[in-house]
Amino acid sequence: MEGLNAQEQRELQSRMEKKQMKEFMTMYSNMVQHCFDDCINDFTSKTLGSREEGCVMRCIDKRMKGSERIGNRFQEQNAAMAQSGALPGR
Amino acid sequence: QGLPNFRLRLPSRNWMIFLSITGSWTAAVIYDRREKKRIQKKWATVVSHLAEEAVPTSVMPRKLTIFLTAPPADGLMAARDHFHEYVKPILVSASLDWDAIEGRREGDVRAALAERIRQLRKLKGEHSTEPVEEEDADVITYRQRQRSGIREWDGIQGDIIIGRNTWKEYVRGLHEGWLGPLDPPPPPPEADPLPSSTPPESSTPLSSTTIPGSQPSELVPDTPHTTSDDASPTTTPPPESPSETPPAEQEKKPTKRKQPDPFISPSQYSTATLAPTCPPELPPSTTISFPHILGFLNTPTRMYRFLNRRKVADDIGRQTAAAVLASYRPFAESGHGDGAFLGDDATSSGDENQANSQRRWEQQTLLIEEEAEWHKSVRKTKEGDQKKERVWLDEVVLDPRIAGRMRRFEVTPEEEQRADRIRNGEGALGSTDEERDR
Repeated sequence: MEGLNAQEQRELQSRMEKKQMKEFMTMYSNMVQHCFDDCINDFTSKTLGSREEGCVMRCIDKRMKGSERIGNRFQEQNAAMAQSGALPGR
Repeated sequence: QGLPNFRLRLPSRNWMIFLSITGSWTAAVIYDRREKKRIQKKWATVVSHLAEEAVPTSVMPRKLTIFLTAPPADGLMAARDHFHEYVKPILVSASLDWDAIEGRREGDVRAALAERIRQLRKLKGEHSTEPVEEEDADVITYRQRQRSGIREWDGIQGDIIIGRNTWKEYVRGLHEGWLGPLDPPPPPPEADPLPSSTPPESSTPLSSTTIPGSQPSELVPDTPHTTSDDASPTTTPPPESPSETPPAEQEKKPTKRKQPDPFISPSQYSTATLAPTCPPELPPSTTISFPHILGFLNTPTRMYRFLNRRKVADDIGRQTAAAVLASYRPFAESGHGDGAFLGDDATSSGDENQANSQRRWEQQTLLIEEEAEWHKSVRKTKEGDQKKERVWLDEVVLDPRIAGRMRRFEVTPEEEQRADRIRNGEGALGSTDEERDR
């Protein structure tokens, strides 16, 4: 961020936001796709049954929690990487 | 029509002998393995309900620490295979996380454990001459977790120790970590063979022991190291410890690295101050028997063990399930014991040990039968190392403050009964499945 003047910083900012938005939408649609595929496989009725509803709730819950945990671990690894300048070997 | 006219006859006498021998051997092996699988499945079912529990995202799962050493005169793979075969299935069934401290030479586990405890003490705020090494991956992770608000598991953690030699090192390392100083003791004026003179890290390249002479040892202990007049660290190295002179800095891996000498000797326990950050209860531990015997003439014993692995599996399963289910109790001590010395006989340091030897603690006799099986090379000391402490050979010396804080995992009788019921065919939740409704 240092080498850019104010206008370029704003530009970078807006581009980052657009990217994040896009990423978020991608994640959302991936999640919908996945959970639909896994949970809803009975088309004899057009309403969501209680089983399917419960399944969808749990699917979303698990996905969000899973990605949160992964994000946390990634943050830690990132911090380690940032300090040591390389992937921490094991 | 009908059956042809077979004449039923037995095989010949020689064949009969052959088939009965191989048949009985095979049957014994198959029976033992089948029972072993069932027993392991039983213990795994006892703990499997833990795999279903939900953990909030900001909490790390529970982590057990496994301590492994290569058995005497054998490699680390033997210990690892033992762990994989007997302990790991139960940990996997309970979906428990674990961390391993391994040691190849005598004293590695002690050094690693003591270092870990010292680092824990430093992180909790004790002061020492060497600050916490912020570059270390574990410390970075620790700081990051502090920042993000991620906590470790709330309940008790635990340790699983495999083998008698590891147990001795564990007890020694615990004492060294909690009773010993945070700063490494000064190296002796005798040379250390490395050109890099005493760096202030804890992996000080000591070539001879810094322990003052009153520790139990075979030779007559000489008074502290100031008898030597050489203060320069780059003089010719003494002939001892050719095996510990690699010029390495880190101490995580045991191979080819300097193993730091103990910061405190057993005879100094009673005069040492307990670390202020020491918790009132240390994390509980459990020992896993590691039957290991070498030698051609021991073949009958080994054959017997080969055919009786189910018993080992049962015992180890019980200990591991206790660790997983976190049911623990304090170690027992018998009051005013048999007056036996805790150190070797030749020492004059009986006085300090007298006070400790009044009581016999349970920790001293755990897995003691394994010592008889050790290979004889353990009892030999290398020439140059006569003064060094032999963790595996010396008796277990306990300080009451630490021994009183140690806890031991043990299954409660109720769990034992439940395990028996599972073994006899009922489900893990009893014969009805009403509780499964959530």
